[in-house]
Amino acid sequence: MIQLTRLGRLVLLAALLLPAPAAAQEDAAPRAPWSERVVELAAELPIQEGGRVKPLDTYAQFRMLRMNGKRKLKLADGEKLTPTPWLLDCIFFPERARGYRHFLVRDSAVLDAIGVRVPERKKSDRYSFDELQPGLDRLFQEAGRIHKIEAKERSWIEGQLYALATNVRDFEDLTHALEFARVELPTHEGPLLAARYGAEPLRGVTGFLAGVPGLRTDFAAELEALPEEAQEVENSALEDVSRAFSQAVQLSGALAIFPPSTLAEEEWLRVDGAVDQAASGEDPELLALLAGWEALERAKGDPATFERELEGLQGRAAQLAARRGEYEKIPLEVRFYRGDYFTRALVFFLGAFVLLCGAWLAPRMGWIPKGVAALSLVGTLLIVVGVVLRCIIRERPPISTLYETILFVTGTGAIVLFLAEWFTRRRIALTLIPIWGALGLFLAMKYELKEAGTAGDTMPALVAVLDTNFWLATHVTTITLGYSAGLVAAFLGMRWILSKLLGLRRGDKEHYRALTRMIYGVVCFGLFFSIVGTILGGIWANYSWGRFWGWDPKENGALLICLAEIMILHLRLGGFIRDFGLAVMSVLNGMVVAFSWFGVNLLGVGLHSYGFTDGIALALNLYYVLSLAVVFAAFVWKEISRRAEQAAGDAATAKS
Amino acid sequence: MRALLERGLAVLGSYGLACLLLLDLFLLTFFGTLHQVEAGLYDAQKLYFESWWVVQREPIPLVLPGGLLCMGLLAVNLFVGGFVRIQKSKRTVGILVVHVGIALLLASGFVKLYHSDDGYLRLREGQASDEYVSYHLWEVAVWDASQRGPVTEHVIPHEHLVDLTDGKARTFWKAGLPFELELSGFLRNCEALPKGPMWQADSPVVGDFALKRLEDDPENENNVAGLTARFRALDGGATKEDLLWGFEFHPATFDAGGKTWAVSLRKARYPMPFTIRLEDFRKEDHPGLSMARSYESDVTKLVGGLERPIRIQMNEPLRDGGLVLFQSSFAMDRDGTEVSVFSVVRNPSDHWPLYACIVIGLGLVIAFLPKLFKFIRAQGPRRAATGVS
Amino acid sequence: MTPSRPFLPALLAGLLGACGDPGPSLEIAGQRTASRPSGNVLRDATPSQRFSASAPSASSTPSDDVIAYDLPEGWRAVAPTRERLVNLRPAGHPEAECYLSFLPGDGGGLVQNVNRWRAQLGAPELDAAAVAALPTHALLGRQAALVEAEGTFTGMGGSSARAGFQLLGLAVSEPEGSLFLKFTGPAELVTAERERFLAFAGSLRLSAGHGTEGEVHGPGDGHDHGPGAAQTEPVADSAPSGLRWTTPAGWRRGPARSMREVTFLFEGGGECYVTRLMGTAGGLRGNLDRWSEQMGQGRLADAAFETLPRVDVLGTPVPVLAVEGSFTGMDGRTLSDQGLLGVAVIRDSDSLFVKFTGPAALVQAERENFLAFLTSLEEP
Repeated sequence: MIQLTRLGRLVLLAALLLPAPAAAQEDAAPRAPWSERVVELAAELPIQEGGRVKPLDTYAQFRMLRMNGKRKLKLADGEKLTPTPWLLDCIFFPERARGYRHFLVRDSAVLDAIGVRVPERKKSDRYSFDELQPGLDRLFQEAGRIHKIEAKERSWIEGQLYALATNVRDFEDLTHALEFARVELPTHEGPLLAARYGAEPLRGVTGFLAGVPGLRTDFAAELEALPEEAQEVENSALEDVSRAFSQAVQLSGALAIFPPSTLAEEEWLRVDGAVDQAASGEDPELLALLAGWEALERAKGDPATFERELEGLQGRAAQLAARRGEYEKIPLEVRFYRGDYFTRALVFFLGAFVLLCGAWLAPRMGWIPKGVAALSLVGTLLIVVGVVLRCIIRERPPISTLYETILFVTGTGAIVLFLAEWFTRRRIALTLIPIWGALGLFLAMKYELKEAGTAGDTMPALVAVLDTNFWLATHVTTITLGYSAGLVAAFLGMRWILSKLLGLRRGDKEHYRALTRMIYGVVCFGLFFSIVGTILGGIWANYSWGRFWGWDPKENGALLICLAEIMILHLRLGGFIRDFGLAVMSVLNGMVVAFSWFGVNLLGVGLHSYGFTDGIALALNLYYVLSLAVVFAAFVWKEISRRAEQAAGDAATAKS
Repeated sequence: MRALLERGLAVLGSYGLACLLLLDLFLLTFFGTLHQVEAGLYDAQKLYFESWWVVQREPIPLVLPGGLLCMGLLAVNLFVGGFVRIQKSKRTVGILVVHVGIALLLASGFVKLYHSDDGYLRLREGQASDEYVSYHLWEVAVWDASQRGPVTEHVIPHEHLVDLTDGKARTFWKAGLPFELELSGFLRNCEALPKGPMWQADSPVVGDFALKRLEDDPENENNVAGLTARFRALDGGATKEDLLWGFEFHPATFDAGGKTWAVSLRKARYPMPFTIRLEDFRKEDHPGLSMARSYESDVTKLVGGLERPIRIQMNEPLRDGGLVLFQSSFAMDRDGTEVSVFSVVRNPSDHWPLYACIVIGLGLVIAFLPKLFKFIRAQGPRRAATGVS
Repeated sequence: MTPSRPFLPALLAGLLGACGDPGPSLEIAGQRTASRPSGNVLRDATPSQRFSASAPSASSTPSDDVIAYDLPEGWRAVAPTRERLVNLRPAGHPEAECYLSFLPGDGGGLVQNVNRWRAQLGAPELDAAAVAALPTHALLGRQAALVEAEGTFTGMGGSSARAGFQLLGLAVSEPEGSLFLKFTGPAELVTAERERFLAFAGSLRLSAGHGTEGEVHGPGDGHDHGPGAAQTEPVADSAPSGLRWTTPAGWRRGPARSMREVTFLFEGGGECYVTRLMGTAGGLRGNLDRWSEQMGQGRLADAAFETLPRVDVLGTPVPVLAVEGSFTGMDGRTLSDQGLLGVAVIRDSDSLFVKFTGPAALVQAERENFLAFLTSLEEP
């Protein structure tokens, strides 16, 4: 989604090609587990990334997700790290973090390609920086080569190699993030400098920076006054200092955590920018932030001091961000991710599903359906809460990315099923809710992982055209409701076919009639939103680009849904299809919805291909195959029951 | 006879026909979408959606009624089945309303297809223009080259040029023009090159130059057309053969009736009832990213000596004089001057889809809501029976 | 009236319009008034003026600016085209042509290109070894394979076969791009013009100023002072202080750092930077000695100092120090096999230091570039 500029690519390439900077010396002090308070404070540190200011916690989560494939890391000593503590370790205890097995390599062939051999690991396993170290030269060499290949043209292994190289580079950047706080400046080597900064080497850059304005005004004159010999020594020392200084500053560029001094500037500063501003002496706040980080680095062996220093730093950073109006959503976002609503909802749906299985085994227990309903209801509510919080954090309607469509479809689909259940009370729709919810959230989880790899966030900056809450709220919401209803109808259709196939409630005509009505009703509901949504999309296009309809693939996808559903209605009105045909058509319509929702994005053309998708192709094809299998099974059932009827009829005529 | 007519009407208005047409449109849309991936939007549109018949070989061989025929028949089917023959009762009010909306939508499509122009207006900062240029259509303009100030042009439109392939020629004349112009050899994409022994010309060789046919570009905007022109003066019958090329730097000229006439093949131009001058273009990125957050242009609209400053930005076009100007893209000239590109649309049915949307939405509500209530009422006793509140 | 009516006439019109051919003779119906003529009328303009990019009114194509050459006597220049950067008519002969073309990429490789040419004259294919053994000739700084063939020329169109033709061509095929200089014509003409052709090939060169005309940059893409890409050709650049220089080909500007005018970074860990300090900053000898010490070589002997080669930097002839040894950086790490090139321009007001450190092989390889860089330095 985020396009690197050509320049950006070249810089990235250069970064990959350059050898890893050597680690500066650091004390390998043992680390006490981070206190809850420290984690809480660190989580709410503001950082700018991907075009917006977000909590350090969010940054840590997506970094960890991308590197590690999940949000938890279990260490050799049994300690379990969540994203923020993991990030703190990378920053403050690089030596330790280099031993963490947090690089997920999905295929050991990647390691073969860079000549790394770690015995007794699975094909897909996790590795530490130290384990990868012997192959890093090869890795970056390969990455340099792969970089020149278009992303689409890369083989799977090449893609994995490149991803690994990026992750290793990112990790190294994190371990160097506090280089500016660790560097020792040899200010004691020159007498004039020593007179200002003391007889010991200066630790960290801020001490030196604080004196820069003074140096500017007086140092030249002081230097002139010295004998030539002394000048020489002084200059040599100054050069050594500045060399060490700039090297350290340049290395510590990982995080954009310094709010710029003026409101007009929107881009947050990294250490180098903050140092430049602070050196001017006009921005004492930035200097204080830099000093705050240095104090943290000094106090890392002493948990109590560390906590106190972090409190000060967090407060200061929050205040600066708040002054820019960029802080108020940060605590909420931290709470949102801490709430982990979608994973919890998944757990509830799975629980409901287990209960449901129990109901099939022991159908007489009356409380089971109520339990299923209750658990599903909680799951659905959790989705609703999660989606609402996202809306508040982003100040946007519920959907602006493909990831959010998955959440929305899952949530609204569950609600539609609940409504259907509410109206009919036949426990038909109810039994589908846990399966629906679990599948949807599982898909969302997988998609989030994919987004971590490509966009690095699920709340990314939007391209200019999408930056309109009115159309996002109307067109996007209605069309997605249409998707949701279409898929729910397909689910109900599958349920009809499978029930017939398995011979459930064979004699219960009323049951099947209710199911058929439900399918029909949901298709009508879906048609309403699909048509209105599609036309609204056209109107948006007309107001934004001057054409109502451009036969763009995503538009065509929406039209296909409308046409399929109108066709279903007319087929039924014309008496061409009945219960059986409706069930089959609704399943086929589900395929059309899937094509429109994800399939067209895989075609890779058109204005709308905003979410480009890799593992999605597999899931999509699976869904097509499954749907076709169900349709095929339906026809087999139809044929069998026709023959059975015929046989029964023949027997009857034979008798008479 | 009357029975036959009844029968015909019955077929025209039947559900069966409706379903077949919907299926046809479904297939057209689906295959048209796939076709775009390889051949580009313009081609897919011409082939599937603005055609009478579609003969498709890939991915599966298929002959289908094209988009125009399908939607035309659909309109007839809708009219006969959805208005004339439909039972008119309280029950079908909603459906009737929906059909009105769909008809309005189809109508706006036809109006747009036959009565709208679109194109672009590309302005450097400080530059002004009172005409916009088509993306796709060509035209040949003929004018008296001695004119100063406003120029009266005779224009031969796109549709009279594109069929001049395979040796077909057409002679154009006009009362008052002292010569005839015969055009032939239309090439959709070509290049004017000095003729060497290396390649075969796709046009007569004029001077050292000839036209060379190039592979069609899937992005139709990138194709550059070419034509062969033969001039014949009406008095005395002097003749001249020349080439017209879409990228030519100077028009072809012909002396007749004591005047020099200029003839140029160019992208079709449309006048605007006002002049637009670009004052300033601004682009803003998301902080720290090279992704545009917004772009906007400050322009001045000049009409009859009056000047009005206007801002055009993403999602906020300028609507005036039946035209709509949209901010569509931007560029930078070699010298660093910013260039703003607007797409310009003249569409009499501009707002019809909105009305259609409201009508259809309303109709669907009228049609479906009572059914829902009926359904719920029917389920009522059952709900009571299960005893769950 | 029902809203369905408007499209029925439209449909009818559409049907008629689609089927009707307006016929072989037609009155021009369209007429409009334009506020200005659409195109710059040039009475009786030649086709070359009307169509080719080199016409004066053309919005420039770079071809004619980029490449300069000496036109052989009696040859005629024809307008270049998009594909032909230089387009000549040898000896003015109407059937002969000679042109230079460039393709990005290797164009299928040298062997394939040589054989493509040979096939155009019906000559048998050469295998890779035979192609490798072809004589070479300089073409724009590269060694190009010299291809010769005689026979019936069929060209690209394949229609206008000409017997008794000869081809003389130079081909370079590299992954970054391929150059083809091709001369075809009647055999006797080609033989007669052979020397002129080779002289012409040798005279081809990039014209001055090329390379500075950059591509279009988006606003704020950091081109000005941020880290940049390695340049394939020397490029003029400057620092905020006003110091100007020409960046040698292959040098990549690093991120801005405090106290440095500019830093260049090299693959493999080399860097070259310019520092400015106030005053005389320890003097010339002192600084050179210090650098020598950093490389583990001790202070310079007087004789060694006196005999250092000198170059003009900012108007002052200064000695260029070149040392190899083990470099001990400020972090205490020692790297072996390192090289250092350095000059100090000591002035009363301020002093400028240009220092290049890195692996010895790199430093050696970049020596010429370093010297070129020094001499290119200019102050406002």
